[in-house]
Amino acid sequence: MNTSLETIPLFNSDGDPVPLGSVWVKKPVVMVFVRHFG
Amino acid sequence: MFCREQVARYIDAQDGIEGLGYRLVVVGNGTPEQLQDFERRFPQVKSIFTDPDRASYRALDLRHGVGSLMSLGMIANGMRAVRAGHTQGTTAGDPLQQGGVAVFDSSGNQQFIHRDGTAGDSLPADELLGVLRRLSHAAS
Repeated sequence: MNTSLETIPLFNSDGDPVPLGSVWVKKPVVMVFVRHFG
Repeated sequence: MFCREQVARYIDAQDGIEGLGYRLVVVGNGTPEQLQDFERRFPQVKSIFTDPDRASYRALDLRHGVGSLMSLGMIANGMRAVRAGHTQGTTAGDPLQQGGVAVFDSSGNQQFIHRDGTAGDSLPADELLGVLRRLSHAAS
């Protein structure tokens, strides 16, 4: 388990925090990190 | 333009990604308000988040800094993106940050990572699907 990542807060478009570790709870995940939103 | 090209690549592959049992999540580093604009542009992506502090980018050691933009490859990547119809929007996040792709299993173990060397250096979708097929095969 990647403990350094799982507690990092991500935010949805409403500004609500979501722990990064929650994204892989239900199934494996492909995480695409974009440079920025431009 | 590069981030739009990157997301468009993986949207086209989203059915294949999900068919192999993976969830597609996109992460950027602008504000939640900037994320709203990006969500409207890419409604096909079911999970988009932002990490304004870029803590996840640092934890994954994704490239950052002026040096990551000093590349002839970036020019070629830009020509490719423009030819494919991707235009540059207003930068909404850190312009010195580079992207990447990471794959985690459902226990949070990192199975794969691709770190972009420069802007536009994202992993082609067919290569990503090949990685996922190998991981799925190894797990079965």
